[in-house]
Amino acid sequence: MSGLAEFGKRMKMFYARWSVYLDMLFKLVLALASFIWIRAMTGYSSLFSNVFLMLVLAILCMVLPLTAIPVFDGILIVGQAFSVGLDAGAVAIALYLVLLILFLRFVPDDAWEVAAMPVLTWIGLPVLLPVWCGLKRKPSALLAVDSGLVLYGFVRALHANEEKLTELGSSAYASRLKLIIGGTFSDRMVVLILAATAVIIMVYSVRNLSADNAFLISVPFGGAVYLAFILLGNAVLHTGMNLVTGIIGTVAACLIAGILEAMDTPLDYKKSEHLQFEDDEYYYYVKAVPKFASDSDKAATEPEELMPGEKRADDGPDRHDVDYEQKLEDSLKNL
Amino acid sequence: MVNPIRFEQMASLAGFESGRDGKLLRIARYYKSDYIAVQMIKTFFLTTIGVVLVIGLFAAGNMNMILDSVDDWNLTAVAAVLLIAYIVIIAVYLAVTYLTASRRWTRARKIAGIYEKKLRELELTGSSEAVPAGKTKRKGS
Repeated sequence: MSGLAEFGKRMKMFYARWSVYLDMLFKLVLALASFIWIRAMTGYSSLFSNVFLMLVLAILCMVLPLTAIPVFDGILIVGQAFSVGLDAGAVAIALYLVLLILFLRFVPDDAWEVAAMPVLTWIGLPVLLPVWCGLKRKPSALLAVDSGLVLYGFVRALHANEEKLTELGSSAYASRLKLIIGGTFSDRMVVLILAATAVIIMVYSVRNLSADNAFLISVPFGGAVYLAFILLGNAVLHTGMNLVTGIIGTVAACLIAGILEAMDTPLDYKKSEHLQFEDDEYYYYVKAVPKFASDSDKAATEPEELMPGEKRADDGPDRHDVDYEQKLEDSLKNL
Repeated sequence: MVNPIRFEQMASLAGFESGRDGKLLRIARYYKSDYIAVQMIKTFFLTTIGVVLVIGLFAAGNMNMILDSVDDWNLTAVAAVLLIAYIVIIAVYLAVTYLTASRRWTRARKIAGIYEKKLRELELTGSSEAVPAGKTKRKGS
């Protein structure tokens, strides 16, 4: 564990030195991944699927705040939806307005998770972001995570019903809207949204317990909650989600989240101390958990080894040099 | 000659004025009741628009079912249910807005207090000013 702590400390120092460039790189990667996901799932419009447009927008996202990424995602998704039909475009705009007005307004700092969640769900790691949010953010982050899942559901509904929408034609509005809105809020998506919500709340609750290693215990606990929801969904609602890929994705996500957490919060629970003290107002029960010292910290605090007869520079006179008899006689003279 | 202590204080104050603390400083200029009232009015109108959109999306997604069965509905009961649901949703959102706005204003006042204290310290430090490179200080300034 101390090896991970050392590695985590080095990564933080590396990030502190290059944070400006690393932040830009992160924004570029997230923006590109998000645009590629949208293009892979839709691709109806030649304009909004244009690779050069995506590159230009991704480069713009590098220099704009993180909140620009979900905004550009929205532009691409709405553009692609309008290529499917006016009704799909109207639903896309209405959906975005509902999410913005009712949910995302309250979590402006978590806006980038709206873009990250669909990408992670698409690549098979849907539980990574909910676990990370439960560890590092407040429970209100579930608004952003669930909004990302709703957008994923909408794009997936367009993708899954592409043939049926083409067969129905542009004038069968009722049937088309039923397909699109029904697909967005299908049983499968509802189960995913409920699972992500439960994971965030449970991980947040467990990591705030005063038990030893609560941070690390909360990660597999979150994974287990997610798998329980998937199993329930398959059993009760017949959602038909693939359990094998679900387990692999959950285990991988938990490993990644656990390693990141161990690097960031390296606590040595074996050396915990329980203290009790009081002042005029309160009686305090305190649990103090020391952090793992990295190798460089240990070297700075451990005393250097001395050769026989060698003294440290800050040592006082050797006890064998003191003449105690003379000191006693001197003190008796002063009585 | 740059006064290093004054420079550090000015840099600290500049940090307060930018980013999240800058927004909180602007919030602290309002009276608490005014700030909360503005936020609740915003929430009322936006939530109303949001609820209308949700009802619209639900109706659009179930248009066939609604058109087939609307003749059998007790429209008064449906309107009453929708109205009660709307009132409950608005009440919840207004309550959440009241709590978050109240907490945010309290935090803003604390930040403003720290900012004012640092400003007073800056005034007490002295009046030596940083001069741009290549220019000399004017006599009498």
